[in-house]
Amino acid sequence: MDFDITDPSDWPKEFGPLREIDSHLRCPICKEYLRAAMMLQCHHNFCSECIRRHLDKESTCPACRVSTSTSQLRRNVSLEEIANNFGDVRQLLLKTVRESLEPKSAPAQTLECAESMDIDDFTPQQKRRRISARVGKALLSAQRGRTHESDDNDHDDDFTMHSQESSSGRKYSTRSSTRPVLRSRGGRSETTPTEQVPNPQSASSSQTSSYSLSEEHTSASEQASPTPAKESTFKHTLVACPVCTMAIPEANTNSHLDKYCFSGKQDPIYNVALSVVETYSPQAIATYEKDGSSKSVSLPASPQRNTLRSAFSSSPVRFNGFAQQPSKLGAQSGAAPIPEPKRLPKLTYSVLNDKQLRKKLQELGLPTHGDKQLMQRRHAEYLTLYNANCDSTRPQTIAQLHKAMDNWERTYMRDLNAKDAQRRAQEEQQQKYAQELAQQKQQEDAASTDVTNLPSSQSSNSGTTGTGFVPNQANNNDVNVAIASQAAQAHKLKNADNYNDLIADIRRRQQREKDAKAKAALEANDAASAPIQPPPQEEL
Amino acid sequence: MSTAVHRRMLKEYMAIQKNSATRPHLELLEPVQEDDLLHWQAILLGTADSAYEGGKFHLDIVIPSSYPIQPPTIHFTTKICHPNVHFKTGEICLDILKSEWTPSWNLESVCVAISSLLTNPEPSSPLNCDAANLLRCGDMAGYNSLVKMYTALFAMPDEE
Ligand SMILES: [Zn+2]
Ligand SMILES: [Zn+2]
Ligand SMILES: [Zn+2]
Repeated sequence: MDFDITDPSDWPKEFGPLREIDSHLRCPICKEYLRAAMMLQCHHNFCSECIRRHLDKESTCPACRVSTSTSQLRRNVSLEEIANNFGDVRQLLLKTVRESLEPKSAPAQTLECAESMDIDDFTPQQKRRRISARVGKALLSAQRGRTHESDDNDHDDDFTMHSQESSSGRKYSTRSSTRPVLRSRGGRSETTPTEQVPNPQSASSSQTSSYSLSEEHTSASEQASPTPAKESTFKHTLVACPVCTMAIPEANTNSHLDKYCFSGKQDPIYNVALSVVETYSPQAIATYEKDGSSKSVSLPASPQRNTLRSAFSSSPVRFNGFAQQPSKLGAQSGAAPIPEPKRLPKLTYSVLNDKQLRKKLQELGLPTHGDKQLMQRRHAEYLTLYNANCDSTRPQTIAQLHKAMDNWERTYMRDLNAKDAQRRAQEEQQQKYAQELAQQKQQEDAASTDVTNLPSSQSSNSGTTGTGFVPNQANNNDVNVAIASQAAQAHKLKNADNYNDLIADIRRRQQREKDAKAKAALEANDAASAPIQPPPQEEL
Repeated sequence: MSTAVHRRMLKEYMAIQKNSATRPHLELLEPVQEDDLLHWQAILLGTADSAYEGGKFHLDIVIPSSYPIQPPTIHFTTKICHPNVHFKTGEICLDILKSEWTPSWNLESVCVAISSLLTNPEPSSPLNCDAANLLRCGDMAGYNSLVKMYTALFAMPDEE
């Protein structure tokens, strides 16, 4: 689950409809589960951020090309909730589904089963893991200096450790094979607690080095049937996220990575979840790690387990103007209507001067440096992030948006520099090409008599295929092309049957060319003077 | 966000590996280096019974950080004679790489599109006027032998 990149094809083909569901819950642009799903009037759905970004550039639906605009965007809240929850329960569901396909064996096979399941004895999975390990580095280096600058090295270490550990450094539940596999991330204990805990008010939690927070399942029925997402998030092992090291329910690693970590955002849900969880931790702390370096906190099964839910429904957490909406609970119980956050209006940049634009940025608390183009891009980017955030049932704080803007700023500058270098290289190449062309033209003029003397036997289009063709494509620096052109002319171009002869002739000519060159080089060597002259192009 | 493009490319990479069997004309499609997901290469195989038969055509693919909102930049690194490919630079004139790009395309579909462009040239927007002129004159025999010649010259491994 390290850098787990999910895909509809992860579902066994026996569960085709799950593949369908999975793919329908994905955004056609980013291929992740829909984040703040928005529907266009053509009924296609996209992440708010993705579609806003696209519509900034082009006013068509990316899926069907019907013309549209941001004003046509409508939230598709149910779909978003489904996508969120499906993402949350995905890993558990996938495990269950795969286990159901395993040949039934004695219940005593626990540990082995857990291990094999966890390592994913499915070939594509192994492949995936292998790729993940290699390419994950690229991901990390892309992350570097953006999301969590301060602990870059830890990330790298984390990752390496992870990929190495994938088969050995784990701890498995020995209880029941139908249970979600418990795993503690050993070796993570070196990082300081403050780095790991985004919300380090609780001393007990900051001493918990592995965040392996497991809970005993009390009844067999509970084990057999996975409970709905919100509940299950709370029941599962908390693990440190391999990227941000935040403690998150293991089953939610994917959606957490997808939605927050890889976009440099903080996960508001598990921020809250952790603080709720922390209130339990003094009650029971148990260690079961074999190397003793990590601990797991066991929670007693208690009805209060739903505190996460009630925390949301009873007192919505307010983040700088964004209401932490009471999620589906509020909607279901018909409680307080969800206040629509105010979206930022688009600006007509062409009518704004630098000063006015700067003021607009300042009002939003954004950097004001750079030329107009940069300021404009910055404003547009913030607008996209901000308005997309308004569409989300799991919105981020303004501070998190600003952090994302910092990342954008860095990426933008890096891209700009890279583009500059690329353009310079291109210009150089073009210049070189133009020079070559000019040179070639001169030589053609000089050699024009030779060309007409060639046994060209074209019938109708000699104007275009013969002289028209050769000069354009032949080039002194490209002796092969010249040879081929001559050979082609010597043969009947029209007659496709002569193709093999033609090729043979080209090869012969090339060989002759090579021999001539070698000979010339030899002679030049003998003479030990006079630079090697390129041999004449034709010898017929 | 640049990490978004990395995730997307990683997904594409894995999808490509999963259905590698279903692409007869795409011999290879992968990052040039494992640690740079924004630079890819591909090898197109000339379709059997076409003038490109037997040829292996290499593509260089650069992914912009705004991908998939912006299309990838693709050019042939193997010299190829085609009305819509610049003979010198390998630049490809294909609408879906420019105005008709849409984010629901991916590298694989683009490569398939380029592969089908090989056998379905569009002489009205030429980058290689000589090849296009032959086609416009309806000189299929001339066109095919020209293409075969360059395919043999540049796109076939040396037999020597
Ligand atoms: Zn998306
Ligand atoms: Zn549509
Ligand atoms: Zn994370």
